[in-house]
Amino acid sequence: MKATIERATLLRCLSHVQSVVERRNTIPILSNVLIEAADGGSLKVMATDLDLQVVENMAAASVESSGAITVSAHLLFDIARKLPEGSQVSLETAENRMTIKAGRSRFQLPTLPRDDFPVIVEGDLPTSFEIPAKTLAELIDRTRFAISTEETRYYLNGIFLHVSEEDKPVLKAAATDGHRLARFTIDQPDGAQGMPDVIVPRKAVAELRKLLEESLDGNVQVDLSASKIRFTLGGEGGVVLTSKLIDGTFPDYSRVIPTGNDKLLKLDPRSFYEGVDRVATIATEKTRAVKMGLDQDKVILSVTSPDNGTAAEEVPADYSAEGFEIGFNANYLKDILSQIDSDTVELHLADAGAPTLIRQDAGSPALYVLMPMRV
Amino acid sequence: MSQIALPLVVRRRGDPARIVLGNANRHVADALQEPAGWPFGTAVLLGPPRAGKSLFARWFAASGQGEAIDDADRLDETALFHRWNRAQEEGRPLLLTARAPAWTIALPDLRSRIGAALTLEIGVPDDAMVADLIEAHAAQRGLALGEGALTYLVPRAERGFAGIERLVAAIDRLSLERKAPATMSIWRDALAAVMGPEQQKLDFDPPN
Repeated sequence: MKATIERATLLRCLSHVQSVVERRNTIPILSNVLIEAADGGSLKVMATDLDLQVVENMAAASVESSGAITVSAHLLFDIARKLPEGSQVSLETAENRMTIKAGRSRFQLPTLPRDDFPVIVEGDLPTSFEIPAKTLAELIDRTRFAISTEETRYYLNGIFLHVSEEDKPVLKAAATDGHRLARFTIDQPDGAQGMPDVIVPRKAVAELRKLLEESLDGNVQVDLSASKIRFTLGGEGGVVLTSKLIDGTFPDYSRVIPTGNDKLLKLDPRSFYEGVDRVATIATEKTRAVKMGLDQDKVILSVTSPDNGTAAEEVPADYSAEGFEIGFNANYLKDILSQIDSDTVELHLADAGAPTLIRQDAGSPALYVLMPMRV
Repeated sequence: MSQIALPLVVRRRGDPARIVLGNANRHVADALQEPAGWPFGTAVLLGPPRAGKSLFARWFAASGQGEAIDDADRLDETALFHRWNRAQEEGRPLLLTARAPAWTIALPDLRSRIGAALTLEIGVPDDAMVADLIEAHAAQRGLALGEGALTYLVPRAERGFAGIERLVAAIDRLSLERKAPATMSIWRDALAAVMGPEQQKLDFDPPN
């Protein structure tokens, strides 16, 4: 294989795929990217961690001889990063080595044969639909912060996607870590009818979101089965991300979304956020607990820490129900409030021990449920 | 202040319910498969709450071998007597469930009929069954119990169906609240939560 590529093209492409590659690998070839040069002048770069693979096509300046080889992803990325801007990078393979030349630099990296490179067998992906990249990006942004990182509940380590026929057909995304829940609802895309319930793993979500950032204007083609999902993004040459899905049952989360919370609190999410952030300064690192005292048209935020003293702040609000006190983790409140893109946020409360519903308004596609702390 | 967990339920509607068989109930399962041998075609299944009486009743009714009346002790006695009579007339085996141990029947006719029926009682689970029950409840909740859990929990857990279920629920809740895998500290706290704190041992080690 011998090909020449612009450094910027190579760098952009490697930056997309290299984060899929884990830093530590027991199987050496998993540290590598597969580079395949075709006679037509295009290069394909592929990275995998066995559960997730990303394939990106890029245009080469020239392909002198076609072929395929694998080489360390992180080394090649670091080299491409440090090469001078605007340079042409030549990649040439010979005898278990790849020579990388640009300007006066010359690197030789060990290679492994392409035949050993594992490829995810997609199988049949019977459900197919298109979704605007912007919508998919928002769906991810509004839910991913609630994904659990505790590994034994592996079925919470991703975003749950499922379709539902309600007043109109919808597609819902949900994520929860057992303390808070985020749900985002969109109109059901054509072709998503009868889609199996799937859980997209956290890492796939993160990689996908990164790829979306560069092609927010187009559509994303989604193909899936009960065990695999594939996202095809436009952009130059296109990027294809294929991921295994989490093999588990997501909890029946709709049962924890309160429907009868009768105490409505309305306030400005920004001043609420800032107030919480300020009083939480003295909260203990471990619990981050903030107490909310609800009273006629105001909320008194307070923190009492045995080591750090006390803090309190009054935030004006719209509240006419019975006054009471409730405690929340400040970071969870801030996570949710920073999702609200409006002048008001609604908190539907029941009592100090019950799930609290948070949303912009009744019509907003995003909905959050936050469990309080024992005060 | 400590975080409260969302009451998430993993089990989906439509999942088949499981009955864990062991020393306490194997004789029940055996007897339910032989209704021909029941005196007057009637069996009374007694057991503590959460021991699986309703599951056995549902399973028996679904097997097509006869009729099952769950929670018969909470039914009007005259109505129950009529149903017993009808089952007799139609020659249909009848399984009744009631809470152990005391099912006091006021109606003399019904009392004598029930007294003559085969009494099946769900007993106290032994260690092996306690272990199976803990595992089954954990699996149903999608809860990974962690290595060595059974060795630790079985000798310490309450020997009762409801208690075992409460124990697993407590482990699940604590692990979710703390966002931590279920390990020794959580098993211990869950045991303390359902059974009260463990007796402290006298500390014979001299302070250093």
